[in-house]
Amino acid sequence: MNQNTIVHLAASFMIVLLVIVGTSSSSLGLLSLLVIALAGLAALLILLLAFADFLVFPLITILLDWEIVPFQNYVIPKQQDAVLKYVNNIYYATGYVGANIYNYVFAQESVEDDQVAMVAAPDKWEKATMNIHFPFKYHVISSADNVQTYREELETKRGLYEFQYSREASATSPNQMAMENLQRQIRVMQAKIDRVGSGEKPLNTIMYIESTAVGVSKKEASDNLTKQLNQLQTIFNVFDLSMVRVYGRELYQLHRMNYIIPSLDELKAQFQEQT
Amino acid sequence: MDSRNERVYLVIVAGIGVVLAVILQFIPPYYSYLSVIVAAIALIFAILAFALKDYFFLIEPISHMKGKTLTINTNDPFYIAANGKCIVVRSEGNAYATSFIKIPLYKSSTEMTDDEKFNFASLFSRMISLSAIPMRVSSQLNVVNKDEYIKVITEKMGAVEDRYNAMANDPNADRKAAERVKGEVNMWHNLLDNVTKANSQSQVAYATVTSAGTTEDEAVTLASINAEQLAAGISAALGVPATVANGDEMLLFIEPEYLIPPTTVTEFMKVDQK
Repeated sequence: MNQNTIVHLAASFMIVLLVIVGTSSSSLGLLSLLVIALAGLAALLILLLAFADFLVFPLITILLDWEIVPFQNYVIPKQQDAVLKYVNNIYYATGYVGANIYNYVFAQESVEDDQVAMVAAPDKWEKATMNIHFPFKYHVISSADNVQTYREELETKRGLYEFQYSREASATSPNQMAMENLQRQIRVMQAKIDRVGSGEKPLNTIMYIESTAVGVSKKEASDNLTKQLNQLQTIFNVFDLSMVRVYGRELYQLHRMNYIIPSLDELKAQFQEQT
Repeated sequence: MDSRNERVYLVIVAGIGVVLAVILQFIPPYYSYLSVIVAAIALIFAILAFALKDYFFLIEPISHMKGKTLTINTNDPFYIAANGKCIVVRSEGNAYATSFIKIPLYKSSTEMTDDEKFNFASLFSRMISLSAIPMRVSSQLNVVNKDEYIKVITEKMGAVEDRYNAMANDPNADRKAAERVKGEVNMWHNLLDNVTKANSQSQVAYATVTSAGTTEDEAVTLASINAEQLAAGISAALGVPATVANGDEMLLFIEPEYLIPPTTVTEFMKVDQK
C-alpha cells in the first residue's frame, strides 16, 4: 500500500468514524442503528475500492448503463472488459490479461532451478506461440532498480530478522515455529543478497498479454475476444504465471500504455490487484 | 495525472465530509430524519474522498457528461511527430513522446544448443534491465498484410486474362499459344485463391520508451535520444541490429486494424470461426 492510498484511506475513515461517533452521542434511537449500518456499508465499499475496484467500477457502469469514450473512435463498453474500435465497418475488440510471475517466497531461492527454467524457456515460448492463430502481444514493462539501494534494503531486512531471531532464541520459552520462520526469512534475504552480489540487477516488472479480435458487431467482437483471451490463458499456463483478465480502470490504463509508458511511481500507484 | 489537483480535490471533498459529520453532533434529537440525511451525505463524501485516488481522471468528464456516454478525450489518442520517429500525446499541459525500437530476432530455439538457450535467456534478462526509466519489451503476433501482394497478383491476372481474351477472339491466333496463356490464367487464379485463403502470421519483437517534456520539441528530442541509446544497448545485449521504427511502421505496434489488415480481415474471421 503506497503513501497516497494511506492518505485517502485515512481521510475517508476519519469521516466514517466521525459519523459513527456523532450518531452514538445523539439520542436517535433506532435511526442511530440505521446510520451505523450505513457507515458500515460505506466502510465496506471503501475497502472494496481499495482492494478490488475492478469489481466495483464495472458494476457501477453496468447499473448506470455508461459507456466510456477514452479517445476518438474508441469505446469501452459498460462491462469494462474490452476497448472497441470501429474501422472499415468492422469492430476491433482489444482486451488484456495480467500475466505476472507468481509472487512465491521460496524457503531458499535456488539458482540451479533458475538455470533449468532458463534453458527450457525459449522452447516453451515457441511451443506456446506456434499454437496461437490470432493476434496477441506479450508485454514486459521493466525498470531497473538502484543496486546499492536495493542491497542496503535487503541487508536492513536481514539485520531485523537476525535481531528478532536472537531475541526469540534468548527468551525463556522460545517459540520453535517462529524461530524456524525467521531462519527461513534470513535464508531468503541472504539468497537475494547473493544474487545481487553475483551480478543480477533488481528489476520492477509488470507483465501482461494483449489480444485483438474482430467482429461485425460489438458483441461478436467482444465474444471472440473472450474466446481468444481464454485460449491464451490456457496456453500460457505452461509458464509459472498468475493469469487474471483485466477489467475496469486498469483496462483503460493498460490501453493508454500503447501511447505512453508511465513513470515508475505512476505505475506503482496505478496497478495493484489485477496486473 | 496531476497529483497537486488531486490533493486539492481531496481536501475539499474530505473537508465537506468532516464538516457534515461534525454538524451531525449538533443537530437536535427532534430533527432525527435530518440527522440521517446529513450522515448519509457525509458518508457519500467519505466514499468520494477515497474514490478520488484512482478515479480523479473521471471528475471532469463526469461534469461534462451528456446522456450515457462518458467522454474522457474527444481527440485522436496520438499523432506522429514531425521527425517521424515517435508518436506524441498531449496530456494535462505536458507532451509525451513515445518511440518504438524494432528488435529483429530470427533464430529459433530448435536451432540452439542448451548452452545457447541459456545464454539467450540470460541476454534477454540483461536486455530488460538496461533502462532505469520504464521501458516495455513486447513480442507481437500479427496477421501479415497481403494487400500489396494481392494487388500485384490481381493486376498480373487481369493482364493475362486480357491477352487470353484477345487471342480467343482472334481466328488467326496460334491455338497452342492460346492454351499456354489459358494455363497461365488458371495459375494466377489458383495463386490468388491460395494467398487469400491462408491466414499468414508474423511475429515481431519491439521495445517502447516514453519521454515527457513541457513542449513537444523537448519531449521528441528526449525520446529520440533515449530510443537511440536503448537501440544501441539492445543491439549490444542481443547481438541483433535494433533500429528505431519510422512513420507508418509504428502503427503496426499501436493500431488494431494494422494487427488484422482490412483486406485479410474477412478471411481471418472465416478461419477464426472454424
